Amino acid sequence: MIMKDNAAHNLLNLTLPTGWLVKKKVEKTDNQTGSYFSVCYLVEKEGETCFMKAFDIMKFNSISLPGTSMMDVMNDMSTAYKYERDLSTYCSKKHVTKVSFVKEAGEAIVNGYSFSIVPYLIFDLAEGDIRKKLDFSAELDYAWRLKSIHDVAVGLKQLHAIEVSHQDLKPSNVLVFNGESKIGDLGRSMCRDMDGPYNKEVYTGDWTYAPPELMYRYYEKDWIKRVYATDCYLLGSLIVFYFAGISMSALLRKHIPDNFSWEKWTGTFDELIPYLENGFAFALNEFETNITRDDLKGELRQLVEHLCNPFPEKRGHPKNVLSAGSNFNMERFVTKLDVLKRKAELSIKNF
Amino acid sequence: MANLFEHKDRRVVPNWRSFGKTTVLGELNSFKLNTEFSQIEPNIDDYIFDWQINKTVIHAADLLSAAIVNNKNDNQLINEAADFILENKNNASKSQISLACKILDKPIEKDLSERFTEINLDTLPSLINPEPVREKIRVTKELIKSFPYNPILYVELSRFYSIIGQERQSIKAMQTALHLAPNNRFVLRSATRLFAHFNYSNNEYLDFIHNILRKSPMTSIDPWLTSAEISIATIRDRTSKFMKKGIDLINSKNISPFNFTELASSIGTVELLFGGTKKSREFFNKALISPNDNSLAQIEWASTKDRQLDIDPSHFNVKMNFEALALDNFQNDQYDLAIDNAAKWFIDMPFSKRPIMFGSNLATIILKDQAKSISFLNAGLTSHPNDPQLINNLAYSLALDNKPAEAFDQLNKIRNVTGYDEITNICLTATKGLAFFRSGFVDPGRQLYIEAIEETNHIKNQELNWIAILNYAREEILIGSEYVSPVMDAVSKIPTNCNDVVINTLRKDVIELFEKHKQENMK
Repeated sequence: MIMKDNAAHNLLNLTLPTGWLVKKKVEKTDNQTGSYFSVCYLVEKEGETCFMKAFDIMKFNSISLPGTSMMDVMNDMSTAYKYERDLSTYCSKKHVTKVSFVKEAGEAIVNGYSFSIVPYLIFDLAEGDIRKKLDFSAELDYAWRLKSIHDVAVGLKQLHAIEVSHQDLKPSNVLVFNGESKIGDLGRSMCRDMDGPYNKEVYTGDWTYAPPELMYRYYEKDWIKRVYATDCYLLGSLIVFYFAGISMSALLRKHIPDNFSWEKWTGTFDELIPYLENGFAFALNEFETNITRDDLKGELRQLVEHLCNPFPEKRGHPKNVLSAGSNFNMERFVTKLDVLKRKAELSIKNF
Repeated sequence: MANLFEHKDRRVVPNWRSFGKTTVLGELNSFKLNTEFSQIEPNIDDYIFDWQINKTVIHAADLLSAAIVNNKNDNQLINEAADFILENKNNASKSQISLACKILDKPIEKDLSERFTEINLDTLPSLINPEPVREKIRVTKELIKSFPYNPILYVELSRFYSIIGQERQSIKAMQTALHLAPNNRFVLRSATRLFAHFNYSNNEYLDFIHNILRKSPMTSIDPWLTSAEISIATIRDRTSKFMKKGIDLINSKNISPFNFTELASSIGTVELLFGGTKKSREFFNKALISPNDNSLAQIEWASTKDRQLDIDPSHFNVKMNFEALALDNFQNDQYDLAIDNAAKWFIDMPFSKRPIMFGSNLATIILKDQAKSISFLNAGLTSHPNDPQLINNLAYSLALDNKPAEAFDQLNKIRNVTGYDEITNICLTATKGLAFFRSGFVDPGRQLYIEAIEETNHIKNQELNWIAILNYAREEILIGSEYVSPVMDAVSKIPTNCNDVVINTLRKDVIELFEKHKQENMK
């Protein structure tokens, strides 16, 4: 189906039932969330500009492959839409502040098209994802970086407190709003209290950022442990990205001999333990070389060591690992990041 | 008299190299042919798209991260992104630059043997320097401070200590590694080699490691460990309880030939020693489907017992097969090549005594080149500073080179002979006799040689007896003593069709010397 016959592609200048005026169609500029099924716009109301994802229901025509049911594709689309909408409502009621979720959901009716209903979701408009902000050209801005990571850790802690696991934390899903960072894209998250499209899957996020145990198909059976261990690793990987500019998985893969790589290894995860430990040791050493500030180096390395340990049972803050309760509690990491953030801010003031 | 390289006695004890080299050689690969899990089908199109429209270092690095994690390096756009990072180094982090370099340095199969092409006996002395090893020990200890639970680091540390002959520290580091990873293949195989290496009659290292191997749950399923256990059991004159399991593993069709090559050669060795050559050949042939350097050397050794096994190791695409090549060169009378391959073999495994014994024996007895022999022995003494066999052989070469004072200097390093085996003690007695002969003190020299010969009779070691007689005969001929005639009577009783090339060479040399001596007397 060509775009001119598709309502989702022709919303420009339309006023939505809730008063939002569709001002501009946005071409894809980043790995925008959920954009596979959607068309993106900027919308405006009372001087506020927001970001809108209009769901292209007719897309099922182009993505239904021989052997796949059209109804299944449509069901996937509607489930994804509903899940993101409902999860956002759930989060907003639970005082989650560091996550960017749906501001408004609705359906626009656009006459003159074979399928005239366009479901949409409206979000706060971000300045971009953190890849736009990270600059390795000069002295790293430690205070900004640590504040951003702290924001993300707080967001993750808030989500975990209401038993939501994000599962897809990566640089393109950290959005920046007026100096504040928020976690974006709840579309691949899992919520214990809600039936989501991915609740039964072992991992729903981007495999590029997936923790090593999942790459080696070592799955913890306990849902809570598995999903929170994943989030824990993803936060650590994000810290690595902020300072080294590449993901933890890339760093780890770089230091694992090819024979033991996830695409080649045919043995068990247990057999790999010493080799992964060895690769992890060298990956941490390399991570440290990217940090120029001696007063932060050791503590950042330790944070990554705890968050990204390649073995989920050892992952998490050591005090949590050794005591009762969840190993993956974010509280201690949030506190640590807060201290580091303030340390970095203080040194700017002293300077 | 030299302690001889034991051609008789080879077992498939795992070779021990650095973690990196062992990995590249594929000896730590999973032994299972296939994984039971389906492969993930990664898609990095989003990252390519982001890179194409943004063209920044960070987007390029994000794409490279996706490429390396998902093993999707074969795309022109990925090379383009890597180039972009290198062209904008000032805007990139160290890790981004290093990742770009890794991506552009396309993985080529590493040929570890390449580094050995320049190594021969002449370059050996320059490579025997304990200082770089001490530096590696320092660096490894620093790493251990950060990663005190990493067993690989302890194995590496143990190896470095073994290279400079620090037995106690080497054993201690390996025991820590075993404690941390008692079932890991790299740790267990390295430990097997170390404990076999430092096994003497006054310790129980072999019992210790055999016990660990027998108790490990991996020994019955991992062919690399089954092989190690069978070899240690054979050295201890025990019957391995894993023989049947090992045969089942080889026949299971679930394990690739490379992964069972050592196991097949271990079982082949047991069959050769205690069973039949037909069965042993069957296992050696299986080991040859995809051999490694250890199984190839074992079969080269076995071919001295079973002529039908005769192989040419250079026909197999096996990296670092210096031992097999040296043994093959030796069997084919290519002694200069054998010497150079022995030097490579030693540099590959600098803690090992076998290449030193092999090279020095060959140089001193067959090539009669004492300088070469001394060069090997000095190299070996770095990792075995107090080894009585090496000290004896060095003294023997020095004495033959008419440097009896230096020979005595070496022999004086040995204070207490009570802990040594009988053969070494006999050799030390004879070598002392040789040094006295070459110093001009004939009577004590003669007395010591006779003592050594009597001891060889006492322990009923005929070959050693012949070697002692031949060495003694040479010295009596050289001084033209009145005892030449009775000594030559004893020499004449040594069979001419002896299988031992060392005895044959010594015998031939003595007879030629005697003939020359007779002719000179006739003049």
